[in-house]
Amino acid sequence: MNLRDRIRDVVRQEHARPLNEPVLVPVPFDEAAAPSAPAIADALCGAFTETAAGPCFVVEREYRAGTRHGSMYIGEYAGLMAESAASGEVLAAGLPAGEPAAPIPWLFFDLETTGLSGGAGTHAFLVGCGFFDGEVFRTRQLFLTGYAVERAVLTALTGLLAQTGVLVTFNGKSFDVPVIETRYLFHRMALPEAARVHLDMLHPARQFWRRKRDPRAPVRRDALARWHRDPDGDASEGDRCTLGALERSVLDFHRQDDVPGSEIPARYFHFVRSGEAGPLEPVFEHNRLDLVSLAALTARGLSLVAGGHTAAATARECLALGRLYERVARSEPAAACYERSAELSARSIGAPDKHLVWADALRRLAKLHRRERRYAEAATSWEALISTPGCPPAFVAEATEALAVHHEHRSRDLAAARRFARRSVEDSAPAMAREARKRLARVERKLAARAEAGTMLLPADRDER
Amino acid sequence: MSSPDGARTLNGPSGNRRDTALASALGYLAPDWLQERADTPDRHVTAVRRLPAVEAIFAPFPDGLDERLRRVLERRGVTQLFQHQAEAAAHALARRHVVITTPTASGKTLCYNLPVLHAMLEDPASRALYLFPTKALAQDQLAELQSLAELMGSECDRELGVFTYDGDTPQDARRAIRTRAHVVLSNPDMLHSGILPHHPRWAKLFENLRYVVLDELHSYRGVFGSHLANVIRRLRRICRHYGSDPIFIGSSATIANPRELAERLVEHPFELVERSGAPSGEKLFVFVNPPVVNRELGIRRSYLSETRRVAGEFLKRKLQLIVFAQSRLATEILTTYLKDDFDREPGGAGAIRGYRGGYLPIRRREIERGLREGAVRAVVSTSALELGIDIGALDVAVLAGYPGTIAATWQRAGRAGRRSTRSAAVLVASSAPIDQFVVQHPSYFFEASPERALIDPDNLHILVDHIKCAAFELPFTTADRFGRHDLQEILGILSEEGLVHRSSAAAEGLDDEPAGEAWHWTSESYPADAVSLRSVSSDNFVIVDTTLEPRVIGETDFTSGLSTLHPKAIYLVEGRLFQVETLDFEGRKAYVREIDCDYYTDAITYSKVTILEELSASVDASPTDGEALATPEARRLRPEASHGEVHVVSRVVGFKKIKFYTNENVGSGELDLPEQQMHTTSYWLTIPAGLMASLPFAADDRRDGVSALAFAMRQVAQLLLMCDRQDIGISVDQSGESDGATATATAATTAPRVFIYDNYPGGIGFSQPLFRMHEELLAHTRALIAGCPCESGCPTCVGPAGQTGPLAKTAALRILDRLISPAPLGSGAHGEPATVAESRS
Repeated sequence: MNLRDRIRDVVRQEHARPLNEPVLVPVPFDEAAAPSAPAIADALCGAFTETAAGPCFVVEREYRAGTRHGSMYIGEYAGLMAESAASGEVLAAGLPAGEPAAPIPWLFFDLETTGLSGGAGTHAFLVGCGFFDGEVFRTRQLFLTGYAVERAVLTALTGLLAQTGVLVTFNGKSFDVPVIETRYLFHRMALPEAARVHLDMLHPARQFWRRKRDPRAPVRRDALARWHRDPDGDASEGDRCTLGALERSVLDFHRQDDVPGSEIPARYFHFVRSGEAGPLEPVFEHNRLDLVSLAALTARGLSLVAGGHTAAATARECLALGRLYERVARSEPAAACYERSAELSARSIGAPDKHLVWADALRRLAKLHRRERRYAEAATSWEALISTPGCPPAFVAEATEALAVHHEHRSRDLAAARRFARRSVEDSAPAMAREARKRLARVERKLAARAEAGTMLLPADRDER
Repeated sequence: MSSPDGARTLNGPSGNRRDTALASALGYLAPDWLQERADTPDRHVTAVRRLPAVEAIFAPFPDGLDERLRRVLERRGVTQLFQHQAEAAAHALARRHVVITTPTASGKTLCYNLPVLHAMLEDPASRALYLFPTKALAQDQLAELQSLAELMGSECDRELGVFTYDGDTPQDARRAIRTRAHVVLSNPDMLHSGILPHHPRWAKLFENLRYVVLDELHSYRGVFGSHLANVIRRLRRICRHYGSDPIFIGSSATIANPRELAERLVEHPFELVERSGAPSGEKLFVFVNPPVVNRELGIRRSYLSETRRVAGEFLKRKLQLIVFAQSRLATEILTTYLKDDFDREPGGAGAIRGYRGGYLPIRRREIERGLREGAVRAVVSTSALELGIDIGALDVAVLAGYPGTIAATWQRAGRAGRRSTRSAAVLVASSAPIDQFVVQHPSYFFEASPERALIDPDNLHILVDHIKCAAFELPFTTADRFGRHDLQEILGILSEEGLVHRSSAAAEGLDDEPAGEAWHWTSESYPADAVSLRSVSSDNFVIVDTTLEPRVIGETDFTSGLSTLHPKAIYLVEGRLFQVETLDFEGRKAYVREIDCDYYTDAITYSKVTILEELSASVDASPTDGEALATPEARRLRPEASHGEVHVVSRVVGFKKIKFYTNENVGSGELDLPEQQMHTTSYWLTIPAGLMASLPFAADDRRDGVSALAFAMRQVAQLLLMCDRQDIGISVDQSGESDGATATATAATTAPRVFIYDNYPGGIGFSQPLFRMHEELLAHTRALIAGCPCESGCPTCVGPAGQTGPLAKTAALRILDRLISPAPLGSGAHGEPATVAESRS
């Protein structure tokens, strides 16, 4: 066997491991077929624009106010954005209150890449940007026509980001932003200074629209392992929190003939080898729809925040709102949201996670009251929590302990304190039981002391609180 | 304290007490130990050697060393350096790559910390990367470096960030470390899969990288070393991209070829510093062979019981010791034995501890501290404590079983040893062939040079894997080179598979080089994930315990998967026994269940080797090898030995059940498993047909003799090559037809061949050296067989009696006698010239 054959042997053997099967057969590189500028412009309906680092291929589109996206029109989303922009600070910590003064207040940002792993060899071949311009939504997609022109793409992006107030992504904190940063670092280019505020919609979206996993439901070990790799991969449609799933369940938008994400890198590699840009057009469309959906979800999220507890349609949205308010230390609207959430979930029928939402809302409400030193209200919430069947045991334990503390130190109702302390001892996990037993012993000592002193548990005593 | 590395010196008043205690224990174990005596292979104590005390050799701080650094060292009690420290630092400061081989506890860390800290003072932007073979070693160094860095902070007003960066580093800390760490302590695996592929995020490190430290260099041999050499190729490529050119400082235990190994790993000339200036007290080295209890079967008293007795003598006399065991199981057994004996003594509780991989880090740190402070009197450890973890200076090292290599034996023995008082090391041999060879031939151990560490960075499988990783990290240009093979050709083939694509290169922003063409990575995979540095193939079998809830309890690389995980195989984890119930070959899973039994299994593998190309006659192509032994002239001197490329087909056809402790064969089974094929390199011995014909035995006995010879040769080859058991494979071809020549009808006997091949696809560089050591191989094999007291074969020499045939041992010895005849073949002394020629036709 000569060296060439042996190398081929080695390569084939190694490569036989299941990588993501390319959908399109690799085409041997053909110099004559190298992507020519007019052909690309033709296939993708874009044009080259000049940057300091050379020409960059850009595809621009606009979505008019009357275009429908799911259950609402682009104009409506634009309206929601405009009305609610001031509430942005609740969604994105660190966001300056009031409307950002940048020419593009909110830039929606989504990358298509040559791989999901990150690292020096992962390229962003399509940098999708979108923004509202009055009632119109515009997309501007920067395309990497060859590895050699990456600096031009990044230069063009720097220009766009310089005009941007808030960068909005979906899962961008862990994917899109690190990937694009790596590209700047790779070329030793300065990271864009502007758009320091980044709103990653994944986290608020999870809170608003994703059903809770019932902690009492058994979790299979292998399912758990899969979950670690892909947090949403194992969930059923209603639980999934991918942009695609939310766009169906929240926006009621359903795509036709969308290109599957797993095919996207292969289509780009095919273009690199053959110069054929045609198969990339659906990828551009996919990216644009992602941008529109991201903008629509953001508009919905912002309007929820702006509207407060009255705007929320479901117990789950209300609970999520409360948490967002609490995070930016606005406890009054937060408490209102929790109360409303408990109310809504008590009334709702059929939602599989209703008791969880309800219990979580009450627990958060109780803790919020306690932090605000409204102890009586806190106690009322804790009591409501334990008196209803179906409450998760962990919450019951927490509430019992909180009530024991409350009655021992605040209401000084030692009999009640003893009742809760006893229950606490029974319910606690072994690790916590020692504390609980200590408390019970102490309460009993106090009771005994009180009995010795001839003090009865008079109503007056209880009114002290 | 004025010792040059600030090490604790705990001798003082108790030094005398310890000396007396040691003398008493040795006097009991080896009565006439004070006189070093001739080796006595047939006695209980086969050797006693005295290694004289060594005086310290000091040297001044090298010229040009930063004044402030000198002050920092003085504050730590270091007023002068040992000679090797000064020499190593001087080389590094003069920008020469350097490798240091000095014994344990000689202050080697200062050899590299000195130039590194100097560079940080000179230019605060400077960075250094330290690579350790294990995470534990990096942790051990962290504390030492951090305390130095703190002193630098207070003395010189310099913030110095020292961090470990490995699989245990929390995600949220990583970003800070990437920019703030001046010294990054990591391991080759992390550099390979976590740092190099993300080099843009490490730009600060790579732009300013002044030093790369390779600690415990000797552990980078075989597959691991071959991978590391390629990781270093990638590292240096990235450094060039960022405009840095770091100096490499290596430190190694004593091996035969530290400089050669460093030069093959880094592909640059190295300076060697091998004379230690550190003082050491006198050391006694004692070899103990447990007495034979069954002469016929060649069974000796259990070496673990013997170790318990020996360790007990030292423990009784309140000496502090370390016991090295060969496996996790043996570690646990010995720990139990010694605890039984000593835990109930006053103050004995907690004084005996076990130590091995798998213990939680916090527990390990506690034991290490206990050893340094004296609260732990004895530790029983696997090889985990062999490398440079700081456990202070102990009185005695007891080695339960020969560690497998001369280098590792010295390394372990070196864990006992004080700067000024006497210490001792005792080797207790097990009944394994290598142990028996060493314990009965002490001179081999004491006089031979330690092993050579061998690597083959241009193994195609390994090279291609790293070319993929490198292409992911940075596009290759059409002028680039990487390794010995033609890079452009390999890239062309990778391109056919769609992994890379050649197109115009991006113009570099920094220089005005005209943009040419480059190979870009065009796959969505992350190639480093598919490459494990510790084996050739990252393909492996996962072992699933189904006793209760299914859970994964281990993994085994593909190569050894079939022979250790076949159905009904016994799989051992931490002393627990599992039986394989089903092997899912396609899914690469073995389902096991815990059982209780008194045997383990040994697979019977049938393998057939076909010679593809004989290389021994060709001139040596390896660039670093000076000696050109494989010339036609050399070939004439050793007609029966060859090496070259072979094709190995192997199949696990059955297994034997072997009883624990006695090694009795208690049953067997047949298996039907898929065949494995491999292209690799091999050494082979052809026994001339004439020689075979001249043996005064029946045909069957002659065949047995060849099998017996092969069995023994394998053991010796392992000894000579400094490799693990699974690194080499053996195959015997009794037909003599492996090169395609048909045996002539007239020759009733043929020329059998014994193949010893590299058990890795593509070969890992053992065959050529083994070919060169051919004479040694035969001589040692003969010594092993001749020196064994058994009558007709035992597991220690030619294989267990009853399996090898009654005359196998005798026949094997006779074959060796003829092969090693002092007169050159062809002189007529043995009357075989004609048949030799015939067999070679």
